Amino acid sequence: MSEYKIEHHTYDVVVVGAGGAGLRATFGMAVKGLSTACITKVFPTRSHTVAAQGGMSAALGNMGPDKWQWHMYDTVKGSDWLGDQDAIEYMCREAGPAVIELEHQGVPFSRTEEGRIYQRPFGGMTTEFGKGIAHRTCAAADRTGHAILHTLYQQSLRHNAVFFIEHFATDLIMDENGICRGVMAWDLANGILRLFRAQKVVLATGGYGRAYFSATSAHTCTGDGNGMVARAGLPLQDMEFTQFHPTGIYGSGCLITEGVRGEGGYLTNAQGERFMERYAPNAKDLASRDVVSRAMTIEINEGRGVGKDKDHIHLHLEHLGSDVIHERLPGIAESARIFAGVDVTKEPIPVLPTVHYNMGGIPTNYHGEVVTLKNGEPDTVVPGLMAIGECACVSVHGANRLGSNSLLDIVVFGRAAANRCAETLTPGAVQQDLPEAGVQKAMDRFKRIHHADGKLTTAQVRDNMQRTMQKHAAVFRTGESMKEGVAKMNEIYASFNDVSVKDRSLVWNSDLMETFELANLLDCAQTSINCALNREESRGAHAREDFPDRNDETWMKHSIAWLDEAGKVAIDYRPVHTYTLTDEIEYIAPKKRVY
Amino acid sequence: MTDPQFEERMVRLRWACRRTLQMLDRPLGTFLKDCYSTLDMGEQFAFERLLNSRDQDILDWLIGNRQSNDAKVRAIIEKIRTHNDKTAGGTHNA
Repeated sequence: MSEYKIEHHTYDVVVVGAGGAGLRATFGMAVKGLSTACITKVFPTRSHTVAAQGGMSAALGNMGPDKWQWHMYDTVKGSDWLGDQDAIEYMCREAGPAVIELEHQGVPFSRTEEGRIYQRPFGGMTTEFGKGIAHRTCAAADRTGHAILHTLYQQSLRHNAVFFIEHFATDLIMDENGICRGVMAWDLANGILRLFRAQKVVLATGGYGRAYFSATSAHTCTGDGNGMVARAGLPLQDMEFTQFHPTGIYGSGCLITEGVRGEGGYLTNAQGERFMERYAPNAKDLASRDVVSRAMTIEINEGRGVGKDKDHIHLHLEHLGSDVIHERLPGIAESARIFAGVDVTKEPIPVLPTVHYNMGGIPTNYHGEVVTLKNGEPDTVVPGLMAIGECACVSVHGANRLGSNSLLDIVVFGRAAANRCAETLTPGAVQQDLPEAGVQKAMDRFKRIHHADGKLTTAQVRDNMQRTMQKHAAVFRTGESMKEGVAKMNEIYASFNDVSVKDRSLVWNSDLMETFELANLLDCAQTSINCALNREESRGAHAREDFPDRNDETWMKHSIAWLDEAGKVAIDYRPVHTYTLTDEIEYIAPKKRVY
Repeated sequence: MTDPQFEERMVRLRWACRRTLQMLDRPLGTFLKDCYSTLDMGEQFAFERLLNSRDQDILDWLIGNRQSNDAKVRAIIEKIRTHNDKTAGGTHNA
C-alpha cells in the first residue's frame, strides 16, 4: 500500500538531537529508569556542541569571592532585561551543582595549583553587580564542548539509552487535542520511516545559523526542532534576536579572532578606505563587536563591499610583517591560507559578519516544558513536548547571550528536563495508539517533499534565503530595508513549492535531507525577519537604526510568532517574567545597559 | 565511473565530507570531487581513514599545528593542501 517501509517504536521518552542538551537529557532520563531513545542526524560526538571552545560559567568562587546572585545580575543585564528572571535564577543557582556533577562524570576541567577547578574571566561576567571582574568560567583547555560531549555520550551508553544515529526527524505527531504523542524519523542509511510513540518528546535540535549566508555553525544547524514546532501550529519566541561575530572568513564560517584587530589589523572597503574611522573616530577598528559588524554591513549595503558580488570586506594584516603575524597571531596565517586562499603577508583576508548564536526559539518554562499562549494564558504547557538548548527560548539569554552561558544552559536545562520527566512520568506506562490523522499528515508531507518535482533546486532556494537574510535581517536593521527583506522572503518562502528533488533514493540521499532542512530553515528565517520588522526598538542584539533606544514601556515582552502553511506570520506577545523563584534574590529592575 | 559500487561509495563519502567544523567541508569535498577517483587504492583507503578522524584533528593537521601518526594520512593531507591552494584562491578575491 505504501512505497515506504515503516517500523514502529515505543519509548517513555524520545529525545531528538544529541548535542550537549540532548545527551544530558537522554542520560538523565535513562538514569531515572525511563526507557529512552535518542534520535540524531549525525554521530553524537559530531554534534555542534563539540565546537564550543569557551567554557561554562558557574559562581563556584574558586578564584575569589563569587555568588550566583552576581552571575544572575550579569545574565539579566546581558539579556537587556528580556530574560525571564525565574529561569535565570534557576540556571545560575544550579550552575555550581551542574559543574561538580560533570566533573564527577569525567569532564577534565583545568585546575588551579591547589587542585580546584580553574576559572577564568569572560566578557560581561562581573562581581558585586558590575563592580569587579569575575573569574567564573570553567574550561577544559580550549576543548570544553568536546570534553562535555564525549563525557555525556559515554554516560548515556552506560545507562542503556538507545541511539538512533543518522536518523532525520521530520515531524511531530500531534493529536486532535494538541498533545504531542510522538515523532517520525527517516533512517538515512536504509530509508525506513520510523514512527516513535512516546509519553514525552524532547527537542534538542540546536540553532538555525544556516538561515544566513555566513554562520559559524555546522551544516546540521538548520532549526529542525523549530520547524517541527511551527508546523505543529505552535509559536516560536524572540526569533528576532541573533548574535553576530564581525569577522568570519567569507564563505567558510571560520572566525578570525578579535585579537587580530587588537594587534593592529584593520578593515577596508572597495575604495580601500579605512571606514571604521568614520563610524568610531576614537576606537576605530577596536570598537565593540556590534559597532564593527554594523559598520561593515552599512558599507556593503551602500555598494562599497569588495569582491565580485561586492558582498564582503577586507581585513588587512600585511603591514604587520610576517614576524609579528607568526609570533602574536599563531594559526591565523594558516587558517587564512587554507580557508580563504590568502597569503596574509601579501593580501587582505575577505571577511563578513557571521551568525554565532540564536537567542530565540521554542518557548519553554524552566522545567523545559514547551509553553504557548492559549485562551489568554501565556504559560499554558503543551502536553507531551519539551525543548532544551539553543532550539529553546526559556528564556535565559533574552535579547543577548553572554559568553560561557550557553554550555551552562544546555547542561542545566538538559538535567531539568530529565528531572521533570522523572517526577511526572511512569516508566513503562501504557500508551494509546498514535493518532491516525497526525501520522497521515506527517506521511503526506514526507511523500510530497520526496517527490517534489518543480523547477528550482534546493541550493538555489537556500542561497536566495541566505543572501536575503544576510542583507536585510543581519546586523543593520531599518524598517525600510526589512520591509524589502520581508517582501523577498515571502516570495522565497512560496518558491519552496516549486523546489525539485532530483534523487528519489531513500539511502544517504543528501539532496532530500537538505530539502527537509531547507523547509525548517525557511520557517526560522520567515519568523525571524517578520519579528525583527515588528519590534520597533533596539534591545540587545536587535539594533534598529530607526528606533535606536530600548523602549521598556511598549516592548519589554517576548514576541511569539505563528506561521501558517502559506508562510504568513501572526505575532502576539508573552510577558517577561518579572519575578524570581525564591526570596533569596529580588527582581532586578531595568537599567540602561552600558559596559 | 558509472560503476554502481563506485557511485554508492561516492555517496557515502560525500556524506562523510560534511563535517561539524564546516570550514573543513570545502577542502575535503573539493578533493573528493576532483581527486579521489585518481588516487590509487592505498591512497583511497588513507583518505577514508582521514574522514574517520575527529574534526579537530583534521583541522590541526590541515593547518599544520600537528602531524598525523599515520604516514599515508600525512601524504593525503599534503595532497589536499596542494589541491586546496590551487582551487581556494581567486574565488573570493576575484
